Amino acid sequence: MDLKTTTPDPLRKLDLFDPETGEKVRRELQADRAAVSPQMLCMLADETIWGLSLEVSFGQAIARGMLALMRRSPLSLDSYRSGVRHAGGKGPTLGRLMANHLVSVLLSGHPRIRHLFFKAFEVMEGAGVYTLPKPLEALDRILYAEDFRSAEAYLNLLCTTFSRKIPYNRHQQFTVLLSKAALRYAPAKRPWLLTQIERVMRIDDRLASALMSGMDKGLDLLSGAALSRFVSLGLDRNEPDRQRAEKFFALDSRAGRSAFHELQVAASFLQVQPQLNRYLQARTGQEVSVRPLSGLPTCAGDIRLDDGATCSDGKSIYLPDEVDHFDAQAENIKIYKCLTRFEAGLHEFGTFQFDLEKALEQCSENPQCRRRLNPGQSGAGQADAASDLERFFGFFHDPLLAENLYLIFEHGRIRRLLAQSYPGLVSTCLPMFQNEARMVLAKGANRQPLLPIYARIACGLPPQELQQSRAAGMDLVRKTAALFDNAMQQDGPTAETSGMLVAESYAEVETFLGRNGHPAENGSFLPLRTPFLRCIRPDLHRQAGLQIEQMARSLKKQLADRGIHIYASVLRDHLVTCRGKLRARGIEDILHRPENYTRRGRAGKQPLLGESIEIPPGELSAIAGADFVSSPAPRSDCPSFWYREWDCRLEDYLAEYTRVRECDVERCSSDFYTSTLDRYEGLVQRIRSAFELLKPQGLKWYRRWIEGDEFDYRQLLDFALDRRAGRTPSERLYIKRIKAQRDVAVLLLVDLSRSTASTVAGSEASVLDVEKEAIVLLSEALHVVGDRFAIDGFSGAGRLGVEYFRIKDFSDPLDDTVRCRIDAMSPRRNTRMGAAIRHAASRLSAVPCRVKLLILLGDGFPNDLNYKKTYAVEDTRRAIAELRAQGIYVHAITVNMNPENTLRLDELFGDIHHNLISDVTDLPDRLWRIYGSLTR
Amino acid sequence: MEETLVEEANGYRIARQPFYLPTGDEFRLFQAACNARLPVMLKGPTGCGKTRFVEYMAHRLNRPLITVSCHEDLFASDLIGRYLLKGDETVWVDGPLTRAVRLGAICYLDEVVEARKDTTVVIHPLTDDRRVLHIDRKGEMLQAHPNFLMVISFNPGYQSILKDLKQSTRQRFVSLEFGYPDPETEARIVAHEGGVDQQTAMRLVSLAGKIRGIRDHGLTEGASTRLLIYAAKLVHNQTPEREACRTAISLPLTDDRRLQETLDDLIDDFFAGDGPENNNA
Repeated sequence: MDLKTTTPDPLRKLDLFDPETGEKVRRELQADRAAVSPQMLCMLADETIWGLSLEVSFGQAIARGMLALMRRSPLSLDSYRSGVRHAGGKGPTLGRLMANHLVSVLLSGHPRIRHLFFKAFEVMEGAGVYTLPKPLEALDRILYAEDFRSAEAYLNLLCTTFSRKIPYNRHQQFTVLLSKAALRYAPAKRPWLLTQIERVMRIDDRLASALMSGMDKGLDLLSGAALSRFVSLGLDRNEPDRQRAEKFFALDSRAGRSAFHELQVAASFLQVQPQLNRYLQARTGQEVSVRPLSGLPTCAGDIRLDDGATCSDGKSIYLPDEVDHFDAQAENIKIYKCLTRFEAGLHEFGTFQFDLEKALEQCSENPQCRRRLNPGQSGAGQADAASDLERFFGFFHDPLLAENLYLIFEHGRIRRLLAQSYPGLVSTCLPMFQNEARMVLAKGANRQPLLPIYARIACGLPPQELQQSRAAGMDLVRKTAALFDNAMQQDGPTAETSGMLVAESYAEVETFLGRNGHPAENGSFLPLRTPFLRCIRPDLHRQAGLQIEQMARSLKKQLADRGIHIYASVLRDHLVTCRGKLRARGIEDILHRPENYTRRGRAGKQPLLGESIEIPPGELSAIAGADFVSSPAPRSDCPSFWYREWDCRLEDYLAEYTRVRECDVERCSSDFYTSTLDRYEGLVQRIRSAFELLKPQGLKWYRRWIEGDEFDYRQLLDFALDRRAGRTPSERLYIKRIKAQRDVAVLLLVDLSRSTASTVAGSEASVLDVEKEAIVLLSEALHVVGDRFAIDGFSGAGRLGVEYFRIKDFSDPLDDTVRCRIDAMSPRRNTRMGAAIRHAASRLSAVPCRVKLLILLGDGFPNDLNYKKTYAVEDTRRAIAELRAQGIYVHAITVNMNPENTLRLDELFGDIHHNLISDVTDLPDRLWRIYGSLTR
Repeated sequence: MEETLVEEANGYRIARQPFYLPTGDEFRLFQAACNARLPVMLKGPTGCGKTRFVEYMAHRLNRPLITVSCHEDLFASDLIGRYLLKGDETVWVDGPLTRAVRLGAICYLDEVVEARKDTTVVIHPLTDDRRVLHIDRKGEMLQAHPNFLMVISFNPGYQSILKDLKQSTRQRFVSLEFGYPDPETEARIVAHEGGVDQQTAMRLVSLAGKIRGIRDHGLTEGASTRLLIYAAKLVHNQTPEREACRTAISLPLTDDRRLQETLDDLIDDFFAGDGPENNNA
């Protein structure tokens, strides 16, 4: 707007009062073209000056607020002024809060929200100004997201909460709790979740916090009615006993959990993820996993997440975070299962292996397609960035339409192939997609012109049904379906077959859409919304496989320069299989298969069977580019071992992720070992005699057996004598010899983390010192009993720096060297337990003993850089499970830890597989006993 | 004497030709080893048809077959023989190995790694060019019949190093490796043995293919052809397919509940429930 025409300039006084604010306001006004009357400007200047006179930030807040309202809701300026004046009268802090947060309220235009806001503001002001900022910021975000129902419920909740007479710290707690909760809940469910919290808050604030913690544990998955029912059940419990109700709401009681499970309708992704991942791995044999849609790369979303679109990037299948489509949870879980089963088909039947060159070759064989494909189009232009599929769509006038057609044919193709390979799958899952298609069609097929074609081809709905639904363009549906059926008669239709079908049908569909008021030119063509919003996202696939794609292209080019023309998809597949590490052998294998050659390649240079194409290794690395470089070379003086690690967030292994280095212990000479034996002299005697009893006696003779290796001559004599005397002789005449041996190998793995340096109460010794004493005593015991044993320690920092110390090998005699090494064990750094356990397993598995035992001696939970809490616990659990699968027993002994941790240790090691010794000084006497009872 | 031996040998002959489909060159190789009097070791996972192959070859070569299932309590005397008391006398009774050596039979030691290591040593002099059996107890040195053939089977799938064969035993045998047959052959076997149609058999085989591909779930060995035949037999006896697969495949394979869940998911993929089949394909 032009300020020069308004005289006198209402902003002049503002300029005089505070030139900086005045300048800001002018800049804002100039950037905006909205009509602003001089009265408004006058009001802005007056109010701002008033605010500035009280406090600079207050004045600035008023200016900002009024500017925002002038643009979008000039009529509410008066309300704003009176609200801010009222609050500002009580002090600039309150005034600023009002000036900041009233804007979003007035912009909402809802009188009810305005009323509630003022009420809540007053209540919270009464409770203390400190209660205002956080909750109001959350309110702003809800209002700007135009979620007015939630805003109303939230304001109600704030009124109720802060009108309660509760101590300061509880109020303070609620400012954080409520604002976090309000923002965390899914917008669709937020209103009723907040309403129920408010309902409970009216009765007791402690119950309300319990309910909120229950919501963090999954109560927020309940439907509105179910949650209301749950709350009623909880409140019924409140009458006799508040603590019971609290536990009920927080899902800490059995009653609470079972009520929750009964009422639960929605299925959440986390609930089904492990099962789906196991299934996918079993079915596809590939490293495909499911992920939640909320984990999609943000740049890739033109589809709204709450729509629940299902898609795949070639490595992962993205599923909705939550499904509440049906009224029964079992049905909702079934949706997850069916979606996963069908999407896995895309991976199995090569949707993402679409090869542009192959598709174009196929199209060029078909005169109809050749005519319709427009090679001059953008397809060739986007060469570098786009994937093959995207480039293919670029050949068409409207790429979006081509993409939609491809989706139809590809889903149809997958359905047909699934029906051949997995009849059970199709008969269980397809009806669900069909029903959904019927419902969408019934809602109005005319708004979605491609839906009938999708329903016919991809869902396999019979044509009669489509006719009944009076879907438009039945002719087109029939023709396209005939085209599709015809193409599917071929042997093994591929992704390129679908591409060809797109080219064949495109023109007709485009004409149909144009004729029926769905023109594609101006972007108003309504894209296909499939049942459960399944879609194919070439962009995602491109992003996920960018590195491989680039390598494949460079490889293709390098080969082409040598006159060898191979399909890019073949090279891509190979690179995926070999995880980007090229080997000359693999390339040779590719070159020996005639079907890998493009048409141009088939005409040119091709090796005969048995003849090898020579590509020197140096050249191969040139072909593969920088990615040919293998993992960083380890230090040569310490042998290194690579192990995988379990990532519980991915539900998958990270291959070759941790490096374990076997390090030497610094040598020293001391009399620690002998002095320990001296100190525990009495105990050592007892241990020795106890373990003597465990020691087997070589060959065992079993006399008086019915059958055996030799006669027992004493029995034989008795036999003869009995017969002579006319008595019935005993038949037990044999001796059986059985060689009894303890075939046990045990590895004692000691955690040498920094925390073992802490001193033991009432002595100068460290935790590790006491552990070492226990090790000395156990060594003596094992020496007596003759079991093979090894002692190792571990520590380290970071995934590449796990240190593993071999103190005593299975074959080492218990000599001075070993004794010195035991003494030299010292506290080091962190505890990456999973890697150390895996390495210990590889050591144990090389020992030819029938019973193998790993004893893990530590003083805490696993912990390392980027290896904490759940992640660390899950990886350790996984490593232990791997060992158990290999037939290695794992037993853990944790010292110096509070007994409250028993449950968490149970979870980590399994309840019967560990001992917690809170007082480490008990260890020397306990360790050998535990071992003895384990191997009795 | 000669006649008694012939009569005894006839008792060990396989009367009817067992059903066996070759998966490779095993007929020719076995025949050649037999002609050259070389002991044979059959390697392969459980239930892939090793025992059936021996029975088939015994029938084809018209040799008596004496089978011993090895276990960890199998002593040398169990193989060679022992003295027993009969009336006032002690009488020598041949063990299965001695009998096979005398009769010129094929002696088949099934799952030989299960036997104690000191027991397997008695077969050493029989399995090199000496071809003799020492019967210590009688002080007898028995020269093997020209037709005698030693065959052992061994499942390398056992993870335990303890149950591996000693090199001194291994290196006395020529070895035939058995795997699961290719899908078409396996389907024919399942269809024939289990009495189901080819299509059902093919689905069972595809299911087994998936199960054999499972890694990292603690499944040490995949579903064997034998289990597939069991499932087929249940189907043949009017058990619903899914039920049959659960009973014969997923439950025997593992006790892990989560793994069973995955196996059941796979079974559902191949075998429809009672719902109407409506795929319009």
